[in-house]
Amino acid sequence: MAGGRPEDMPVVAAASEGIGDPAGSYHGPGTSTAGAAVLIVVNGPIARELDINAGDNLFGPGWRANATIGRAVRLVMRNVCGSRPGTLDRGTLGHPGKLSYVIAENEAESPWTPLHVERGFRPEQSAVTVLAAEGPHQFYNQLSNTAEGVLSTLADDMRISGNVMGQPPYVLVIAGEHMRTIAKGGWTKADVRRFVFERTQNSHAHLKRTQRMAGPVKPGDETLMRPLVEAPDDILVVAAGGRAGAFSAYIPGWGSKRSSQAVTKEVKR
Amino acid sequence: MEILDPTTEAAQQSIAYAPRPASLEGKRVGLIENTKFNSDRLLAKIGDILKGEYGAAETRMWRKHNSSVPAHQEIIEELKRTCDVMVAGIGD
Repeated sequence: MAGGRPEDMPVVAAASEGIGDPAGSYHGPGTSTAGAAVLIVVNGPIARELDINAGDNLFGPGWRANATIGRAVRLVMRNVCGSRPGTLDRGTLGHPGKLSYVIAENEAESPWTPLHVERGFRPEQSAVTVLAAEGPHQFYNQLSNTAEGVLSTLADDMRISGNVMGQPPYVLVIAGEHMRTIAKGGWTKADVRRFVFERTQNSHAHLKRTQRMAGPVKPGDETLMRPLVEAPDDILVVAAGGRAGAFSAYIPGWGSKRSSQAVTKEVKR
Repeated sequence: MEILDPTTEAAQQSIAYAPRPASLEGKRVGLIENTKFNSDRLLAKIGDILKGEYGAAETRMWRKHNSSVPAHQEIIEELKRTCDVMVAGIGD
């Protein structure tokens, strides 16, 4: 049905376990008018074994595993859970990730700790991280040769995005050129998180003027700041995407941290 | 040829609604707001109408933990103990 191969099954199973975990809250993002898809990030040796793309055209077509694993998970959601548009799935717009939204982290070329290791797994284990998420927002910086430069553009682009008031988790997908620029400065994923967290704050005044936060602008609102996410650790950083091209992406999650978190499950052989 | 069907029909469950009271006169109304913006104000207004026009005795509001989960068990338990009917907010 999804066109997947038998060997893809452990990844499909791990992703299905992930979306069933209460921390991700299937009920919320699955039915929501916000139309989130399930972002699936694959780590560990299984990504290479199954040829799950971590490079060029990351979110696009061209790799069977990326297309079929995501599609298989969506078919589970449709046929087993009944999440169909118009009934349980009330997404107003949805987005193409609802067809498939699968990437692998480029562990071979990344200078950083892989996502699954950050989240408690051993490097030789394979794992899948799922997050209810909007589509990828691409940003462009071809000017900077420093981490601060690249991430300043990212933060400016990202600062007003997603559910600003809800503060759900975010995923940053840092592609080849930006990855090398940021790493050249000696920055770790934690450094990236901290910088981006500090630079993605909005004043209450701005949020009220732009009709995101209710109420009249009050004295003090210009300097009272609301961060985009609750804490730096709510920004997941994944090294993935093509080697050439000054583009990376940020992906807003759904709802709020309390209502839907990223979940990582081991891929069991 | 063997055909495998991965779809499944949900096991038939009968949801038994509590019998509808003949009137709301004297009834205690529970209101569950789903944390969405203005859901509390809307439900409070509904509660006022039920008291003012339909004779409900009193209303009491509970707030879900967040909008993406059903009301937690402790809310349900307290509601069962202290209310006769309830109105829940499930929209945006």
